[in-house]
Amino acid sequence: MKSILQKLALLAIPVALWFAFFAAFEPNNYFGIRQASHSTAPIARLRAFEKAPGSRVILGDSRLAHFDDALISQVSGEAWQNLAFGGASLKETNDLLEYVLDNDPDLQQVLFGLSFYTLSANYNTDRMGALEDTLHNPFAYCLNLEYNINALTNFSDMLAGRGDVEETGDWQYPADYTDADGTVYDVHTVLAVYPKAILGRCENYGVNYAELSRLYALAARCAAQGVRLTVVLPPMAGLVKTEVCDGFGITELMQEEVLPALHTAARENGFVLLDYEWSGSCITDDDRQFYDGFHLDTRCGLPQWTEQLWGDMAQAWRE
Amino acid sequence: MSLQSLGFWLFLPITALIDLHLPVKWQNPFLAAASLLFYFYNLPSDPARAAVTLAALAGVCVFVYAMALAIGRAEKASARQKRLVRTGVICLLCFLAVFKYWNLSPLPALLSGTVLQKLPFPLGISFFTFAAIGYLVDVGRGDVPAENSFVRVFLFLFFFGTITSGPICRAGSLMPQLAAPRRFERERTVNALRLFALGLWKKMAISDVLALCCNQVFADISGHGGPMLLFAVFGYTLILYFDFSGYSDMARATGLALGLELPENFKTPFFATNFSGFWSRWHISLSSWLQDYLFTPLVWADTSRLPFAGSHLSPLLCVFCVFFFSGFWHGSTLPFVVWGFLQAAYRLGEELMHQHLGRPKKKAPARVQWAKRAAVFVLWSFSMVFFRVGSGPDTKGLGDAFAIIRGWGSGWGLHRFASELIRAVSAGFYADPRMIAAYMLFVIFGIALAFRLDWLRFKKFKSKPSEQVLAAQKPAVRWLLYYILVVSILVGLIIQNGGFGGGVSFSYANF
Repeated sequence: MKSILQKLALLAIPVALWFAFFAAFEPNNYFGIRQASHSTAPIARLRAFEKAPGSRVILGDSRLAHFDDALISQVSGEAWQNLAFGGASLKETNDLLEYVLDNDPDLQQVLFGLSFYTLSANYNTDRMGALEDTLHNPFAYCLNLEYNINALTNFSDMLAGRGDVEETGDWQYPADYTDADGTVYDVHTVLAVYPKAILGRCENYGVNYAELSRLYALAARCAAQGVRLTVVLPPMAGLVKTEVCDGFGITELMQEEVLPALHTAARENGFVLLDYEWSGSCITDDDRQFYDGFHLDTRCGLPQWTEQLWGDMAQAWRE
Repeated sequence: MSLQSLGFWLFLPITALIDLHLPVKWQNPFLAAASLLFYFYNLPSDPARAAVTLAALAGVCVFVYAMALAIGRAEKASARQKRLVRTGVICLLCFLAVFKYWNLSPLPALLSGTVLQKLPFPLGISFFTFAAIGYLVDVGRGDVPAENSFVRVFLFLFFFGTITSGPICRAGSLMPQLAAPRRFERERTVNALRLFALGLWKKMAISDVLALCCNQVFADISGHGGPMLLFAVFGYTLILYFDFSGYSDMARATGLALGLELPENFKTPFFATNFSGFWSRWHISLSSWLQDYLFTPLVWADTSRLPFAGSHLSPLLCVFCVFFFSGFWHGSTLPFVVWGFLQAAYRLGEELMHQHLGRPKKKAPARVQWAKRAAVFVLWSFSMVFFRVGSGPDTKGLGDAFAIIRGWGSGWGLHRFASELIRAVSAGFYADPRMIAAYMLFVIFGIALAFRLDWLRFKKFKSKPSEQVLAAQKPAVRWLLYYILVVSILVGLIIQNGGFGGGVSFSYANF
């Protein structure tokens, strides 16, 4: 028996090596062996939250996922924990809100990202269950294909000296304004072609009323628990409004039905609604301040909006 | 829990460690308890349906135990004994038919709203029912004595190593092993580990990985051209082989780890040069069961009182019945019926050819043998169209099967095939060019190595068990193979996210 175990131990060497490599290079700091993780992946943020739940959290999709934590602290005088992640649907954000309400007794404030895009009934991804499985099951995490690829990517980036990719650009005319087929746009290409990328999701647009109602119920729960909930609709580039929303009737639906209902719900359920998507924001130069149709440039647009958002939030709660 | 799940990798060694060190009188009760625990993890989540399943299993076990004793006590070859055997077989077949073909009857509609509207499908029902039928018939023939121990009968039917998808065990082989003490043996344990690793590798690193690509094609038949549809069908042939033979290896390994020698189920079937040889190498426990308990009784049956039948049925008719029945055993839908019909047609065609042209007198040249192997593979793959359509959740019926066959005639072009292949891998696995290339290399390497090992087994080792082929390699080669298996299994696990959140199961677990 002893010799069998010895030989099995030898055979386990590749598995041990793989695990050591994975633990060293996985970007989400799952095992807590690094100080912190810079990853915006939901697993990384939730693990950090589990380790040290913050009293102020940010929830939403990629439009709220890239705030500069240091700038937020500087502007607001408070520490905020960002749990927003790219591609989060309204259902997933609601699931996360419920999760933090259930698991953070010291929760004081929540910033909840909402938009016409996440309100779409066509966009109802539901990964919270799988996320919770991975959160509490190290085997599920270690054997996850995506996370293993992330570890490999992290390793190759380290070898190549590549840093994190930032959503920012020092756009130069005409190179960055010309598409592969020779079309020259008024704005940089990444922004110009963005509306086409989201057309599929916006056709046959309908509002996900079930999840919207769930948000109202969660808002009431926040009020009951003394948690200040701020629902924010982030800015979007004018191009998205004119090339997508106007054509599919989304503008009309949002402005005449959804937003009034949201304002009413805000009064009834005790949350603050800040609308930068349809009511304008501090963003004045889409070309410079937007990276693409939804995402602000992290150097030229996001810091400005961060200051505006936290300033408006503070004022709204003072009132 | 299934044989490839992480939980089973803990369950088996712990069970073996305890079982092999227990006093003899406690070994079988312990193994029976372990089998119950294994089955518990495979019960339906709904308590009412779980209760129906457990009641059915308990009922079968008690029935088989009591019936075998009654058959054993009856006078040998008497009319009463034959009546008892017939009653036992018919009751078991009815039991199988009720659970397997319930949805074809009007009963679900009549029992709407009750737990019986949709009967649970007990894990391994086709396998343990056949094992039970074989046991009763063997007792009736006097080949094995009726077992006095209820626990041994329970284990014979529901041993956790074989319950999922067989192999279908024979009482004459397994009961004496269950009656004997079982102790740890080093060489046997090492063979068990080798065999388990081989089986797991075939299942996780070849079958399940290849399925990621091929399933994309079956989910969208009309969206793919002829070459891609052909690729998917040949791919499915390999998927089923590696899935089922991998499972069978793991089942045998489980038995070996516990000191039980279980029958082999696969012996390099793709090197057979005719269908008679193929069926002596593919799902051997089923084909031999059909031979002993269906074909032989049919051939020897006295049909002199039946109109137009003569004194005995024609062996060709019996062959046809056996394979046709085999189709029904696999499934109640038309695609399986067609599949069974095709197997019957292949065998009958072969017999008729031999009758008219005579059997080959001497060993054919290598190129002729390879041409025959290719023909068997192609014909078998053709029948797999119907098998896949009948099995898959993404295909509906015969229409899909004929759509695949029709699709073979169009969309031919290398560029189209390449882009469809990349698209299928991208959708089924990962949308990145480097990962797609890595996937293809991994799959090709795995299939090539598996067939190399099969060829070694067939040619050099005269179809000896796989673990013995591995053991006979030089130490350096053996250890290289071990490391390849370990790394490939790990990669296969990661490709499928460790089985977490995915629908990974054995193909034959649905039978």
